[in-house]
Amino acid sequence: MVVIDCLGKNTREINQEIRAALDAGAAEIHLTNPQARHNLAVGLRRPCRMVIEGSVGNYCAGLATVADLEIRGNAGWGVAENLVSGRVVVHGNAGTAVGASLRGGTVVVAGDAGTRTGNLMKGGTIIVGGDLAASSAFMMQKGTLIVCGNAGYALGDSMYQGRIFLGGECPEYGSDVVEMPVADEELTEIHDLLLGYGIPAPRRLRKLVSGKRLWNFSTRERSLWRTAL
Amino acid sequence: MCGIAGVMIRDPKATGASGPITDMMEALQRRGPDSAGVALYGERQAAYRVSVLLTNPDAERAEAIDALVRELDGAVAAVRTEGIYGFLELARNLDPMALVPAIENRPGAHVVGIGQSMMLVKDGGSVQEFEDRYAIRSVASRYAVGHTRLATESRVDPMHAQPLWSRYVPDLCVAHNGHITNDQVLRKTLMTKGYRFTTDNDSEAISVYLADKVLQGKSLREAMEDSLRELDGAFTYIAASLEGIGVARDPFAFKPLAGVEPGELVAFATEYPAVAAVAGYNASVSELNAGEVRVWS
Repeated sequence: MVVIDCLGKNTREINQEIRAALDAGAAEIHLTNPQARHNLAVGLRRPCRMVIEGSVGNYCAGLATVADLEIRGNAGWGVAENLVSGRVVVHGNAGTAVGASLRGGTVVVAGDAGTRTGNLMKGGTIIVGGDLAASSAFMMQKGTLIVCGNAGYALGDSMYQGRIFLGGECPEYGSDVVEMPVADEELTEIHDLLLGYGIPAPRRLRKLVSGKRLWNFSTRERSLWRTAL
Repeated sequence: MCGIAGVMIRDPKATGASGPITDMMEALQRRGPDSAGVALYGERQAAYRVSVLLTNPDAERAEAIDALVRELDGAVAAVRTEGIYGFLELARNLDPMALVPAIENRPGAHVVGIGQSMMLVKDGGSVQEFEDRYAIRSVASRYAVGHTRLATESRVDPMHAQPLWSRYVPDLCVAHNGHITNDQVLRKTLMTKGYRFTTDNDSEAISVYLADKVLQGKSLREAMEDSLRELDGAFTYIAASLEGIGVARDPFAFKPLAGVEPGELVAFATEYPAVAAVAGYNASVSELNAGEVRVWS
């Protein structure tokens, strides 16, 4: 196991040390004293287990093609943006745009997640153990978003495809979001997934999907377009 | 960009907010390298304190202050000169607002803050230079608002730096991050009511807007809630008055604001590291929701 102490180093030095450890074939890397710095562990391209012992700032694990990262604290904005595969687990809360434009892999936030989480996600899974703020999953194209707590307004606005599972309440769904019954196998899938991360499953789940009315423009649904735009 | 920060210690007798606000501003330094400013709220005094910004050349500043004090003829009980400021403590029972025209009549003199609790200072340069010049950490305060500025729409000078005092209500100030896109419309409406603006900064529309609401009898919270319906653009702002300190985020949550509030300390800032710097890296920090206002007193 490689331990990298962030104290007294700038972000570039830390990320270069991570890259060097990965190139040397390290199986596990621990980052200590991260002090909520921005841009830690970005662009990870080799499989390796990594633990950040504390909170991180913005864009942690952004642009990573492979990640198995555990953040033992909170995260700022844009954690695991554009992740391609692997998983990123945040033990605390996370800021805006968690897993935005996610392509694959799994992002777990045990606490609350900020606005615009999962926007434009094109695959993968995002799990939010607590509450989710407004305008999340906007123009979602693929993948799964699971919210155990409540969600802010405009959830799933103008989503193309993909699935959202909501445990709590949402004051107002986004344009063209419709509820669908949850299939038994989906319920089992979600419960197993949550169990794996030690997150208690909500008592009931609602499934939200695209109503597909925004797929093609129709003058008869002018009001729907007005709110979508 | 810009960085904004607000901190309040819940204990009404506390005096230690100036250290944390400076720590937060240092953490927000790179979001606003061109100017820095704070409004510090200490124990409410009977007499008003006035921050007079003097744009006179350095060599003429002391003389300008002396001339100002002479002209105000007995209205000033004490005066302190620091950096580009003259801090006046007025004699008791004086209406400070009535003195503003007389002060601003002096060449180079601008009133940037008046309060019984609030002390407002802002200047060009980094937070470190600001601290070296004004020794903010040593000022006793229970709550405070801080700002680091990266100007995108108006001049870079101490007048346009923030926090912005509301000009029409003592002790009311605003620190803003973002853009107010309907600021010209708001200005016009407020100007027809008789309000005057002293900068081109779009943020001044917020401070005068809040002053107008407060003068109509609204509380800080009500004024801030109204503002979310009437301000257009991408913004988060922190406002403070004698009532306390409040934070607001635009209904689309374009601009970030994160903070903590359980426990002894309330701390909110544009970036998470600034909050963590004072609340600890393990504190449960979360973002303010879209269209949300929170006020503490």
